[in-house]
Amino acid sequence: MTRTLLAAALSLAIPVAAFAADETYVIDSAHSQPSFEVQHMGGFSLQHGTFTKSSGKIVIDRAARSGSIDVSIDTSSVRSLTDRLDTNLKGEDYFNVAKYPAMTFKSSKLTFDGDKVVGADGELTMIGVTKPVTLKVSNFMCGEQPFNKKPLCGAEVTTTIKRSDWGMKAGIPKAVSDEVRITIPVEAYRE
Amino acid sequence: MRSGSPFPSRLTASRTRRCARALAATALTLGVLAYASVASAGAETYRIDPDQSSTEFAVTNLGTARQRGHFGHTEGTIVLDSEEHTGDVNLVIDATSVDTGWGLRDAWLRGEDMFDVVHFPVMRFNSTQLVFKQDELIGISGLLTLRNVTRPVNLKIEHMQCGREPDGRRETCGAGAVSTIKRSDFGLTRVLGWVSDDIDLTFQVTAFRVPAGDTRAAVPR
Repeated sequence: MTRTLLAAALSLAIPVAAFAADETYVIDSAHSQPSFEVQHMGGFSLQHGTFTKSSGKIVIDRAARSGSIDVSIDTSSVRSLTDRLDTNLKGEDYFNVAKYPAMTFKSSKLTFDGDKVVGADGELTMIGVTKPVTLKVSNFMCGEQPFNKKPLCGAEVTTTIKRSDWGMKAGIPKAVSDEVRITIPVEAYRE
Repeated sequence: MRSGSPFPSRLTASRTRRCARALAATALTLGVLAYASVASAGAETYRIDPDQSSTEFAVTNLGTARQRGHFGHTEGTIVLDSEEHTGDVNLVIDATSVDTGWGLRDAWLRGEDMFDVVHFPVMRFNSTQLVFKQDELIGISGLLTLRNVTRPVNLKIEHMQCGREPDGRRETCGAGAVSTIKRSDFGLTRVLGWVSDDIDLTFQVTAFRVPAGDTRAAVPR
């Protein structure tokens, strides 16, 4: 019942928002932690990691079906299962956080299905290299956050990249796969 | 011979049959024992490496983004007999190792409202049946104990690979098993309107074969 009410509250908010022009949403870092998944030891197991700190803004004009994304991820916030692995990931072979403390994703091309965002074409800058990346967006929904009553948009973002495209080649292919599956929950509050 | 017997022939025959039956039973028992020893020779025990294993969970928040977390410390054993298609999987998950990348949320999850780790420091999964398709393990039925509530759950094996490590040193099995549980079944009923009742659980484990004679192989219960 509560869930139905919530869904109703969220969907009611959409037509109202559709009259507005540009709306800027600020990312809630705790609820927007990018995670990645790689194959370990030539496919014996999957290993996950997360970046616990990110920041940025998403601008959406749902009437004009346009918008932009400008997000920065704190590379030193990388977390995996062990401290030893975290140290490796922060080191020169992987994210090299001393030299590259942030990775960024920027897009000015959002794709829509009706007034819902379903994708974004943009550029990911990681360890100093910038390459194009297409994000798939699902579960896009906007409404009032029931606890603090603030306008919120949420979505689920996924993509798969080859890390060697950015020059991150350590451990390929046996120890750690080249292919990295990325999943990002996004919750952002209207500014 | 027959005339010299103190017993009527019927009884003798009966006794002979009993004897035969006893012998057959003994032979059968010996056979089963021999069979069992063959079967157990085929069973291999793997110990889960907590440094490469975790229990992950995902919930839907406000009907939109999927929020994820994991229990970083997952240990246990896997016994597999791939010839007999039998085995035993036992996992012990440290409830205090819950990690969502946000300290405030983790503290709340450890608290009385949710996992109540002071009273229920571990979660357990104990298999009751392994499901094979040909020689491939595809599912595990078992019992999940969370907050002292035990419920049957079925795990689907998403991927599994056993063999020698690429460097050839150790025999290993890596596996991912998924299940969806309803948290309300285990008394986790807070904020059900916002955070989904369904929790997707994923056990990602890497286990190493236990050498013969290793006494630490005892199955955790």
